[in-house]
Parts: sequence; C-alpha cells; structure tokens
Amino acid sequence: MEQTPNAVEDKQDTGTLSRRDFLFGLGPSIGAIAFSSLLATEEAPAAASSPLAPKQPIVPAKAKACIFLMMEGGPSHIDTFDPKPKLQGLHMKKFVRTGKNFSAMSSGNRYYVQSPFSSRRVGRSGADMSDGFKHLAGVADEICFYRGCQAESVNHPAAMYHMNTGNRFGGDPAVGSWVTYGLGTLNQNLPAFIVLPELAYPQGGAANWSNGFLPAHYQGTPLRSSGSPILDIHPPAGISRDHQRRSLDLLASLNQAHLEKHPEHDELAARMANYELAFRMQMEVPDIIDIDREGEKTKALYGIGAEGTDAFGRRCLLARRLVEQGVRFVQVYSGGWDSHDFLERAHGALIHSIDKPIAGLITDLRQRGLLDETLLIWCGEFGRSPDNGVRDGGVAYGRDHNPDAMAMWFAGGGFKAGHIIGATDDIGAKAIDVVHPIRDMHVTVLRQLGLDDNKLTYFHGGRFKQLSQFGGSLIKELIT
Amino acid sequence: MFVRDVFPLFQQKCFSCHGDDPQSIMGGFNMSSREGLLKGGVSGLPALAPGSPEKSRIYVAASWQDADLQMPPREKNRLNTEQIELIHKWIALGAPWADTTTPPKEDAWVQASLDSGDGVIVPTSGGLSQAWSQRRYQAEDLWAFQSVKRCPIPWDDPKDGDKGNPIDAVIDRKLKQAGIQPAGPAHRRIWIRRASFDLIGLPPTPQEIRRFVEDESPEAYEKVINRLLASPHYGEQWGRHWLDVVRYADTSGFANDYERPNAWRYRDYVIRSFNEDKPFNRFIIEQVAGDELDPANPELLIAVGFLRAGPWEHTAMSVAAETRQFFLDDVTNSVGESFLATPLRCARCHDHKFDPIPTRDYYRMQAVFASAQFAAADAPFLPRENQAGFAEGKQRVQRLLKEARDALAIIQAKEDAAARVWFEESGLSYRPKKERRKLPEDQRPPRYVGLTYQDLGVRKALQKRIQRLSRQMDRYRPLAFSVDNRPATKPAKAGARQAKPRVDKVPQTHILMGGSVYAPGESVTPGVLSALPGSHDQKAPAAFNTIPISRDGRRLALANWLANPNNPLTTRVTVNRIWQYHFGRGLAGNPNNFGKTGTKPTHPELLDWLTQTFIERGWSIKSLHRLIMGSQVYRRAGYEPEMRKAKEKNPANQLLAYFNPRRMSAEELRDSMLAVSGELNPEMGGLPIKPEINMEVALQPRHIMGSVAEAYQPSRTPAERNRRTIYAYRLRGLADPMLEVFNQPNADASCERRMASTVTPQVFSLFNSQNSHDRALALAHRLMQERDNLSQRIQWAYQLAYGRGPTTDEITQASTFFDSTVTYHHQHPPKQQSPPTQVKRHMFEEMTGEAFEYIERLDVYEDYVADLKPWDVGPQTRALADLCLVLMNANEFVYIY
Repeated sequence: MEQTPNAVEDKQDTGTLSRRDFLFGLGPSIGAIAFSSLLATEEAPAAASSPLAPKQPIVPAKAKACIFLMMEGGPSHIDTFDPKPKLQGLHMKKFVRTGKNFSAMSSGNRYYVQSPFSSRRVGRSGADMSDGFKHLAGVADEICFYRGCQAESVNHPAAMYHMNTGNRFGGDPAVGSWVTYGLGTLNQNLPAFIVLPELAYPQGGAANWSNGFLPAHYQGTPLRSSGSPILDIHPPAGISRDHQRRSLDLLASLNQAHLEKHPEHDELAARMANYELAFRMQMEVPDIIDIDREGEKTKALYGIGAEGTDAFGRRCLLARRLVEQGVRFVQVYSGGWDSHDFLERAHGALIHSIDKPIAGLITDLRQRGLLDETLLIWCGEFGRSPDNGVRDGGVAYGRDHNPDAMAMWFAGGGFKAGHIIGATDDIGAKAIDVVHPIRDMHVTVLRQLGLDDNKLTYFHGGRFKQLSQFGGSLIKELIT
Repeated sequence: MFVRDVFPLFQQKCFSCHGDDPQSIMGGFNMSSREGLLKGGVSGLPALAPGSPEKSRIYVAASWQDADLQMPPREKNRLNTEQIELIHKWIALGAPWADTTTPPKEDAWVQASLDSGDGVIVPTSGGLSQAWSQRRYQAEDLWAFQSVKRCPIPWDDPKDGDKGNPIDAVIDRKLKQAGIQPAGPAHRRIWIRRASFDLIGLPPTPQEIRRFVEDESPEAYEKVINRLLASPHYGEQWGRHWLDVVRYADTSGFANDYERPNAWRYRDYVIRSFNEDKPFNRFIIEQVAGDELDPANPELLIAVGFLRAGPWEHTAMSVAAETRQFFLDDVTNSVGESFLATPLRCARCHDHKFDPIPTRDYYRMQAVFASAQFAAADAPFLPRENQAGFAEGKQRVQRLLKEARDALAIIQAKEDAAARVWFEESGLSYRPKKERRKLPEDQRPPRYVGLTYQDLGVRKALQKRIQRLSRQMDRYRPLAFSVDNRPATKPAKAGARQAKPRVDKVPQTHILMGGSVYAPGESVTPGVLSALPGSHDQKAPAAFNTIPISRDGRRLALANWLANPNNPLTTRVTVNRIWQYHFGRGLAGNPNNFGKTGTKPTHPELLDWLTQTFIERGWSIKSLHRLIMGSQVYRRAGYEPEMRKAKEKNPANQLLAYFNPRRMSAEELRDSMLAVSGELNPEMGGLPIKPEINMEVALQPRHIMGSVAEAYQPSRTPAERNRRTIYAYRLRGLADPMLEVFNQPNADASCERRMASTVTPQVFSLFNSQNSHDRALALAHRLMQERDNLSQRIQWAYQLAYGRGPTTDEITQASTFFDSTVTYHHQHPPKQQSPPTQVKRHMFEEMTGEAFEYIERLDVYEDYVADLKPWDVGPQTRALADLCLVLMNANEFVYIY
C-alpha cells in the first residue's frame, strides 16, 4: 500500500513543488543554463518532487509505455478480424431483433448483411484478417486478438467515454490520465499523456482525454496535426526568441523580488519554474515531433507520403517518437468507422488507411527493441451489427452499432502474441466466450503497465475512485 | 428558538405527562401542539397567551410564582432561571410554533451514542438488507446529520459579546490553545484587493484604494464591504460559484452538443438572485419547484432550469427508458450534491457504504421527480432581462438559414433533375421524391441519383446546419428552459421543443436493482432522506418530511424540506460554502461531501453558530458576508516570516493563523486583464457573448453526429465580446483553452471548489496567446493616453495592475527594459494581418468514408471590428505593451493575498 499514489481531495491541488527545489538558480540568469539541461531532466532537482516524476509501479510492469490506437465510430469486427461466413447464406434475409436496446436500430425492416470482404488466416498463428489487411498480416504473430469484450452503450460519445474513461457519462479521468497519475512520466519536458487526434475532434470532444477529477497535470495534451502542435507554444508573429528572452528575464526579476517578500508561498517558485520550462519546450517540442527528421525508409515503412496512408502513418510514427522520448501514454485516433452504409467503400478505405501504418509501427518498435516495453491497444468504442435497416427508402449495405460484440487486439506488453482469445456467436451478434465488460479490459491494461486498479485510487466525491469505477477482474486469458 | 430550545425543553420536562402518549395525558392538557396549549387542560383556562407571558399559565406554572400552580411539580425537576427566561421570551415573541415541524426526535440516538461511545443504529426508511439497516455508526461521522446546535461563544471577556465578532472569539480561542500567535492585520491596500476579488471578482481601482487607505473613519472597512455588496458585479461573482455547483452550460453535451438557446435566462436569474440577496431558502425552493409555486411567473419557470442543468441527450440511437432514467439519476444526484453536499449517486445501486442513506431513499427522492417533464415553457421576457442584440442576432440567423436552404435546394434540384432523366429513360412518368418510397425498387431511380459523394457529404452538412440554426432561432423566443408536470413519458428529442403528451399518469417509481432501468424492484413512494432529524417517519400529511403522491406538489414538498431550518444539511452546507469562498477552505473541508468520508469540521461550533445566525437573519447571504468579512480573521495579513512557527504547528493553516493567498480563477484572470486594460464592458446579462479564443481552436473541426459543428466565431465588436466571462457562451464540447488551463471546471460535474494547479500550458496561454498580447497592448495604449511620460506611465501601470506605485528601482528597471525593446520595435514593424473570412472543411463522409470538402463562410469576420492591434500603434506603445505583458504575467498580478 505504501506505493499507492492515493491522494485526498482535501489536499489543495496546487500542483506545486516546494520552494527549496526551485529557489536555487532562479533569477534573471537562468535562461542561459536552461538550454543545456533540457534533456538531463532526471538529474534535475525538480524531478523528484514533481507530480509527474517517474514513480515505481505498484505491481511488476510488463510495459513502460502505451500506445492506444482508437478507431472512432465503431469498426466492424465482422469485416476486420472476426469473419462470419454464415452471413453469406443469410445475406438480405429478414432479421428480427429482440432485446433491450429498443431504439431506432430495432424498428422497421431489417436484414442480414454479409461482409463485402473475403477473409483469410495469416501468420503462424492463423489469425483471421479480412483481405484489406495486407501489411498487418506480416506481423500477425505479434498480436493478441480478443473477441470477448462488450460495451454497454449504443451511442458514440457515451461508448467512447466508456472506453476512454471507464464512465459512460464522461467527466472521469481517461486511461492515460490514470496511468500517468500512477507512473508519472520519463520526460519532464514533454506532456506525459499525449493525444494525436484526427483533424476533427471525436464526438464528445476533449472529455475523451480529460483528467476528470485528477489534478490537471494528468490531462491529455492533444498534439495538433496542423498549425501549432501545442496551443500557443509560440508567441504571435514578429516576436523573436531573443526578444522574448528579454521579457522573460524581466519577469523572472519581478517574480524574484516578489518571492523575497513572500518567502513561504510555495506556489510562486513553481510558477516561476514553469516559465523557464515553457521557454525550453518552445524550442524543443517542434524538433521532437518533426517526423521529417526520420529517414525515408522509416517513413515509407509507415506509408507516409503514400495515398490514403499518409495521415495515419504520420501519427503512428509520431507516437513511436514520443514513446521513445519517454512519453508515458499516447493515444492515436482514426475516425470515421461508423459505416451504416457503403460498408465496402468506407471500411475498405479505412482498413487501407491504417493497415500499413500499424504494421509499420509494430515492425519499427520491434526492430528498435521497444515492442516488449510498449503496449499497443487497438479497438473502437463498440462493434457493429450483423444486420442493417432500410435507409432513405433503399437497401443500405452497412451495419448498425453493436455493444455486444467488438474487435480488439493488443501487442507487446506481455499480452499473448499469436493468440485469438474469446469468441462471438456464429453471426457476430454477441460475444459468447471469455466475455468481459470494458472495465476488465481496463484492469488488465493497468496491470500490464504495473498498476493495480484497486490500488490506483483517488479520493473524490466521498469515495476512493478508480478507473474500473467499482473494481473489475483481470482477463487472465489475455496475458502471459 | 422554538425548535432549538423551547420544544426540546418541553420534551424533556413536560411531555412525559403532557404530550408523549395520548392515553396518559395528565389533566387533559396536551402540550405537543400549539392548539393544545391554547386550549389548556381540564381547568378550561388557556395555558398560553401569546405575547403575554405573565398571563400565560405555563409561564406562571414554570416560574413557580403561584403556589397552586407549579410545574414541573417536583423540586428536582424545576426549571432553572435561564429556562424560565426562555419561556418568557418565547411567549413574549408571540409563542411562534414552527409549523409543519416534527419533533427532531432522532437526535436522541445521536446524543445517546455520543454519551456511550458505542456505535448507534440510525433509523431510516430501511436498507436493502437487514444487516445494513442494523449497521452501527460512530456518532462523530454523523455530525452533519445532527441538528444544528447553538454553542456558547467562548468570549475571553463576556463583555466582548457586545462588540466583538464571535468568529474571532472561536478562531482565536483555538489558536491560543495551540499556542499560536496569529498574524496582524493586512495592509489596507492588500485587504481591499482581497475584498474586491472575493466579492466582485475584479481588482479595486487606484481611486478606490486611495479612498480606503485614507479613510480614517471607524467604518472604513464596513463602507468598502457595503459598496462591494451593493455592486451589481457582486451577483456575477457569486452567481458564478453557484453555476459551478449546478454545472451550468449553454449546450447539452454528448454527440450533438446542441445549443440550449434559453439557458442564459437561468444564468441571469442566478445573478439577479444574488444581487437581490434573495433569501437562500427561497432561492432553493424556486429552483426545485418554481413552476409548482406559480406557473404564471416567468421568473420561476426560468428558475427550475436548475433541474435540467446537467448534460443530457436523446438521439435516434438512444433507448427512451434509458435517457429518461439518465435524467432522473442526474437530477437526484444533483439535488443531493447541490443542496445537501451528499453525493447520492453512491446509493443508486446499493445502500450507502458509509452514510445512513439507503438505496430506498435514493429512489424515494427520485420519485419526487417522476412527474417532472422537460418543457420549453412560455415565459415572457422580463423588463430587467437584457434583450440587447436580439434584432441583429435574429436577422443573422435568418440570413444564415436562408443561405443554407438555398445551397441545399441546389443539390436537391440536381438530384431531382437526374431523377427526371431516369424516369424519362425508363419510360416511366416522373414522381416527386416523397412519393417514390413506396414504389418497387425497379420503378424508382437509385438512391442518391445524380449526386456525387461530394454532394452527399455537403448535403448532410447543410441539413445538420439547418437543424442547428433552427434551434438558434429559439434564442429570440420568450421561452424558458424549464420543466413542468404535464404528462409525457417519452423524452423530448434533443432537437424538439417538447414531447407530445402521451400517458396521463405519473409513472410508478421502483428501486432499480443495480441501478438498472431493466431491473425494477420494489416500488417506492416519494420521500426525503430518512436519516435526518425529524425526517424518518411520515407523520402527517403536513409534516415537513412528507411528500405527497399526487402529480403536483412533490417537488414543492421536497423543496420545503430542503429549505427548512430544521434541515441541518442544507443550512450547514450553504454556510460552509460561503466560508470556503472567502478563506479557500470550508469549516468542513469537503464542501460537496458532508458524510463520513468528508473531512470533519475544524470549528464545528463556529459552523453551527454561523448556521443558526444565517437562519435567524433570514437566510441572507449578504449578512453572512458582512459577518465574515467584518472579522479580524478575515482582516489578517498573509503569511509572514514570523509565522514560521504557526506553519509548523498547523501546516495547512486550518486554524487560520494567517490569510491564505489564492490564485485568481480563470474568470477573474480574464476579467482583471480586461478591467486593467480599460476594455471591460460592464454590461450585464443577456444572450451569451463570444470572446475571442485561440483561433486554431475556434476553427478546429469538431465532430457532431453526422457532421462537424459550425466554427466558433467571436462576437463582432470589442464592446460585445469584452464583457465579463460569466456571460461567455459556455459550450460543453469546446472549452476556451485559456479558461480551461486555468482550471475552469468542465460543466459535466459539479464543482464546489476550484483547483489552482500550476501547469506549463498556462505559460503558453498567458504569455504567448493573442488574447494576452491584445490585453497588454490595450493597457499600453491606455497608459499612453492617460499619462505624459515614461516614468508616469510606468507608475500608472503599477497602480492599475498591482494597486501600488513602483519603487525607484522598479521604475529604473522598467525604463531600461523599455529602452531596449523600443529599439527592437523600431526595427521590426509588425505586419498587418486580418482574420480569415472562410474556412475549408475537409471531411470524410462518415458513411461512405469518402473525402469531401466545403467552404464554411465566417460571416462575422466579414465586417469584424478587431481589438487594438500592433500595426495600429507606434513602436513606443508596442514596447510599453511588452512591459504590460510581463506585469500581467507576474505572480503579483495573479495571486491575491
């Protein structure tokens, strides 16, 4: 229990470092020394007491970092990694839905829909993949496929919140926030939890990477794919670095004088140090995220520069660069998987857009020796239905939302590579074997990162809260 | 007085013969009701003459004046002088009997356990299991559930009672016991800045500071407090605290983040209520049951918007029963959190793990809302509501609607033309689209005939835009975002104003097993938290804890229970929050959690004393401010080096030896920058305004169901947008990044206390953002206009930003800085930039996965009036702006001492 990063909400969240840690060296002259110490953060006096300082895992960790590939919109398991040949015989036959989720999806005429794609078994392990996955097939044996996970909501934002924060209604901390709260991060000059969204934010917006009730240090920072990577990281046009340094020196001097009048006000020093850190980040972050520093061969491996794969490929390569730099948790978004219609076109294009980039990411991590210490997660917020309804007065070849079955896989991080765990029924309507709710997946992911969901708690609103909400169980079948 | 003192005295001394048991009433004299006292006993003489103690037989009896009438009859039970005096006083006051009051008998168990040290069993409506119902609690964990008691004030010298402030007496006594010498009074300059931020959220002007510092009258402090309390900005600052608690936003959140076009009226109602010092009990009742109180009063229909303040959505994918239940759960928990500081959500699935709140109570409370339906109520605008901008706003929305409809018509026409060709080529006669649905597939054109994927994508975006703009038209209609009890079982769709009435009876509320709407258990009737004193049994229809089962009146009854002086939670919670907003922490540390797991109060007797006083002063928040801010404790200096010892002994300063500094809240920071730069437009209320936010975020595409949301465009003119932050359009799905990074809470969870983290992105926001640079430039411009030379300008800048003049060294330092930067600015003339008037949206149509593009016009920027920009001014002003930016980033600016 002594390692449990429990905190009590009563402790005012000042997020401050004690004055002793900072007083030394601060003042107008600090600018000069700041540059050289940029990457030597682990020796920096600040590291030990920072809320983001690296912390010991609670349980033995199988991975140091996590890359969470989030397919927003609900990718169809049936058309990706969980083929259902039986649907070919049922195609266009009338379907009757029963059950609790009485909504628009259960009204009107419905019919079965077969997959527009053929499927085959790949790798030594014989994993199922639809034909569009040409490159991922090459690394299939690194992957642990899971077919037993079930969501609870049929609405995108609620299901997204559930997958990302453990709470369908949002407002709670994201998985990445919990992980960085529990483990801190290895690079104090970069945010600990970074999100690489599509140009358009997903439904539900930034609440998908919110720190919720945890202190603000644990909030996901979106790195934007165009424009300024971090908001306002640069001053408005026309202000040179030297000019800004001059302003910062004056500020440091004013703050120093103020500090001397208020020597016991701890927050002052922390806030002063932040200006220096920001000044350093301003210079360093653009370099760190500049993927043009990578060789052409590496870029090609991710499909960068090629039609259809460039955008996601860039995000995957950036994710690797960040993890390499010590960022603890990176979430990468791919959007638009909500194929109620035009399944073949839409899923076809999306599968193409992620296939090479993800295969490249796995290959690259492996060849750099990082795959073992990095956990990859791939999933959406729910799966899709084996049937569809009439749309706009005509037959639509698509699928509705399905919380009862979905596709999900893991690589690295001590998951059982080369295995398929769990099963769905013969039409893909429902998970039937090794069935677990999302919270159990969360518990398992935390465990592999060295965290125990029951101990990784934060006191808020009258009780110790945790990612799984009320506790969950480890999915033992998934891990070695 | 009656409830607290007189009634318990009767209970203790009289009821064993004259009240407890109707079978054994002595002398036919029943004292358990006022009627009984008036009627008297077998003698036929009234025992009570309200207003005339000497003529009241109970006083005569109690005082043993008449040898024939002495009660209680035994010498050892005789009342003491104080008790006799109490009865005298009570009768003299007219013998007020707290109507609808049930004797707070349950307090007895608490007292018993306090005495014995054993855990106690708390009577409640009953747990799901017998074991839970029989659970024992430690009395100290139930402190908040016990009746509020008036404790004696520990005056050093009893004579102090006439002039001293009881707050000082209690706080100083504890400090003395701990051997801590508190800090002396803060400098007046510091104090007035503290008081101004606390009460109105804005810095004092240099003139206000001077006037106060020079005011030698004994009422100097009081005058400042009264001036600030009378300022209309007071309601803006204190309304904001309440809006944090209730989770106010102008949109609904989730997939569509639909606008709530009339929500602003509730925001203004809250501000008005604080400004008027509306008795807080009345404020509670209005928000929970305003429509039941008077459905013809628009103000009250607006007030119940409280019940719908949380995020909520119903889409075509949603299950009606689930979204209704979502609302019911939300409102139940919100009432618990907002008024009782008791998050009830814990009890949704199981009996409360720590506190005596059975799941049954959760659903009994939920049943109160079973008849409440969403309503867009007709509520004519009140004269005091600000309707500025209605005409222009409406015109604009109409214009945008027309543009979107015209663009849509072109695509529809294209489809229709292709359909005509198809019909012609197939040798069939043309049928309009509406009629085609029923035709066999081979007799109608293929879906989307004639349209490209580009067309499909754009069409959908336009349809969505039209839908959203149509909702915006509701901004200008006299509607309230409200509830009523009219029958309806299906939740109103997100886009619709109101569902059609369907079923004519109030749905029966059940305990939901595991909180699942699909697992209804035992049925329950509406009720209140049963563990509170006097709230256990439903004693009589008029009892203060009884909720009727009729359609109407459920909420009003709950509201009366919440706002009853006998409800120890509501009253303490309110007072504790006010205290917290002044001192940074409550007397009980967790303002939203008064249960076992909350922090125990540091000064329970003071909390109770303040609570009693608050009730006696008519639930007046302003009188509470006067009391608190008039104290020496509030006047104390912040931490000073000689306080080192004090800090060792009470590291978190719970004992209030000195005043805790705080960082400005996000809103205070933005508002102060505007105030100091002279740009703040103090106009109050009305339609939400849109400040400039980071441009990249403003234009960032944001997914909504089936499309992307419209770009965020700021209000057109500086006067419109440079208003106080509380009036800023509050989108659940898009936070102003500057406010967010300075800990503005997200509107999905109740926030009772702001955090004040120090994180690096704050630097980017405050030091680099366009917003900060604009404010700095405006301040520089002001200095140029209002003062004649550099030295004076520097002095004026310090006065405005810090409320003090600079030292000679500071002037020298600033001048040197200015000299070096002005050279830079001479060499670097700024390039003029103008905002974009359109943005290209590049999207993937969600169903086809095909890319499409369209241009979104940014109409506001077409005739936009920008704030002052670097190219509008000379190098001197720009150099001065660099200095101003530094001043506004400094710790002296952002911390309040």
